[in-house]
Amino acid sequence: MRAKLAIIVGKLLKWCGDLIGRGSITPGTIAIKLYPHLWEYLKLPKTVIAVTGSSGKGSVTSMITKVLRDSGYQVVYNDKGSNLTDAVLTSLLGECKLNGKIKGEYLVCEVDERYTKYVFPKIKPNYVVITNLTRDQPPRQGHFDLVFEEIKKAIDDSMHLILNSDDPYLYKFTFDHKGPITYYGIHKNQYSYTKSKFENLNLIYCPKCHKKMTYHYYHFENIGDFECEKCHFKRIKPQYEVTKLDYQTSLMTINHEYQLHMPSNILYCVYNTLASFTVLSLLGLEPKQICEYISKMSYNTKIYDEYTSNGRQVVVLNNKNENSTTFNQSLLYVDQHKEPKTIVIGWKEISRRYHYDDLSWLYDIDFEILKDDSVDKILCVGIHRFDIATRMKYAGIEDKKILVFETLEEMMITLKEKTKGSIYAILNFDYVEPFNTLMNTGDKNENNDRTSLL
Amino acid sequence: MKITIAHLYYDLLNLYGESGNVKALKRQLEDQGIDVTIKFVTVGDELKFEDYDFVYLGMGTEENQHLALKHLITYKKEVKNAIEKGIFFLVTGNSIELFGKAILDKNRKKRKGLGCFKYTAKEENFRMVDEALMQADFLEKPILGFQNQSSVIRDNQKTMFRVIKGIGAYPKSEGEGIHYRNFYGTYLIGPILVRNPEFLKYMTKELILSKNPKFKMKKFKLELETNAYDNFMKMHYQHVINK
Repeated sequence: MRAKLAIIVGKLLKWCGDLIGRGSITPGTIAIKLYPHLWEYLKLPKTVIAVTGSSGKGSVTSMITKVLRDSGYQVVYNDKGSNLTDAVLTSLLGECKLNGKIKGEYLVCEVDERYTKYVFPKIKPNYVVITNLTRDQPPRQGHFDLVFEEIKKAIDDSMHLILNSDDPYLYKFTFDHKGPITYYGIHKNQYSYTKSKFENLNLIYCPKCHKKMTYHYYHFENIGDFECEKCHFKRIKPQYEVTKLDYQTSLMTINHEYQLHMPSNILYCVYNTLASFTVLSLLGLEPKQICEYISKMSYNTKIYDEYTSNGRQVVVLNNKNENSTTFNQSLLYVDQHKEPKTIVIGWKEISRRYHYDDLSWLYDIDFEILKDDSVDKILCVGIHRFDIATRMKYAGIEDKKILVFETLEEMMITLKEKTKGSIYAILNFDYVEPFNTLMNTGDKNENNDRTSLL
Repeated sequence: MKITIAHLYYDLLNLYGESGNVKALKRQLEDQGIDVTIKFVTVGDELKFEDYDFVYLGMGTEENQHLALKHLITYKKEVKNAIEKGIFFLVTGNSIELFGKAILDKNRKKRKGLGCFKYTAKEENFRMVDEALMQADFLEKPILGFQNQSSVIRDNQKTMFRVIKGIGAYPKSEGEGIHYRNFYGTYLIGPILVRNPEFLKYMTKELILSKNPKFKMKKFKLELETNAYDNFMKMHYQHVINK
């Protein structure tokens, strides 16, 4: 009886929350207080897919969910942006009958990497995708090895792991895993390179015997084809492999056979799409059908956006502060485009989670890539503009190329009128929208001469 | 003048932007007209302390710290000699633990350190994270920094910094770091030389003067660094500035 009451109350609260567009956790929290055994009472869908990792969780879960729904399945998905235990419960309450049965064939969960040990025992995932473990929010996470330990505690042999075969770090999950493992990866292609472009990496020593590994090629950071000459630990040939990739046409081909149109032209999108394809194939969906549904998806402008403003090409690259990998990825993208360009780098605040302003991560990013003749000016903007400018200086950028601005508004006149070439904006997500708005409005700051040139 | 910087375990002890310190020092020395060589050395390489004028070690994960220690301990005597001889060392983050008597991990497993100093580091079951503001007696302005560590040193008498804000050597400690001859060690992480232009200038000068006491310094160009420092102080430590 208490279980039913908890479900009814939870459903009501969720319904109210949805109406006002809030409350992604509270209904779950209150329902579990009313009936602490609610999790045991619920009858979850037969197939549960969990996606965790430092980045890409949202993209992968939403892609999997969309394709499953397009294929006619009923899916429960914690898409309200929160991925803690009570939030997952809130999502389930929405689709739950009074007898505890969840209406749906699949449960797809995005799970915060630090909360896997709480969430996994509740949802008991059949499939677990770990996208990556990168340098991310050090004040919150400490470092990647500590996150690894947390996730490892949550995994047992009943789970089918789905991992990126190009990422040596993820193999640490496999050494004593007796359950099934499926790998996905990208074959060597025209974008691969043989000399490392990035300095500060999570792992370049063999995770088994600690000898420095050799790389036959890189796709990015320490992602590529690695091998340990001492103990022969090496990249496993993945079951699902991108055999052809073309950013010009936004097309990727999996296993020589399945071609699809990518939702955006950036390496991590390829991996996220491939991870989704892998899960969906394992679920038994027809590969050609998966390609068709993914190809129909609209362009994901959240991660990467491109438009023209006053005849200039503008590329907006969305990054996460305190996550050097996202910035390195943006820099790799810039490096692949050799036309004359202006760079914008900035953010509103370092973190919205806490008050710390740790700036160490700026030196984990290889801004040295910007020391290139094609770069005309670098505009550093926001409260830490001088810290960014200093980083540019020590990346070897000439003083005259570095400009600083306190606000985006102050920067706009200089950007629009005194710089050359395409515009590549490497921004934290909190600056993306204001930047786009200012780029797309006329020069409302025409009489504003507060721009400060160094 | 030629100066050689050794960046020890550059590929293992590089957790929190540590390379920034080496980049900054190299640039400042070059601006003074010095011919700078950086030797990137790591496990498996031969260490030649007689070739180095300045040695840098940064922060690493616990596992990487062990890997580095395993290699460095085979040079125990050479490291001690180098410190006594007055070779410059800048050691940040948990690397200062390597130079003590021992490191005790969470399971109370003991790893022998280089024994250059008498302290013992202990790994705790929690992580300590905070902004830090500290004062060195050889500098006028306070040092800005950040701490992110899981171990503490409680028995170090010769501290380098007075803690104004932050964890220090252990929660609520008053002093932090170690300064002995030209050895500068601190739990502060990341690019502390970049963030503290006065410290960077001091280190550059000391290093050059140790090679040639009559060297005539050119004016330092540290406007960007100083602006960054001043802005940060204004944002976070207005009350300290007002004092």
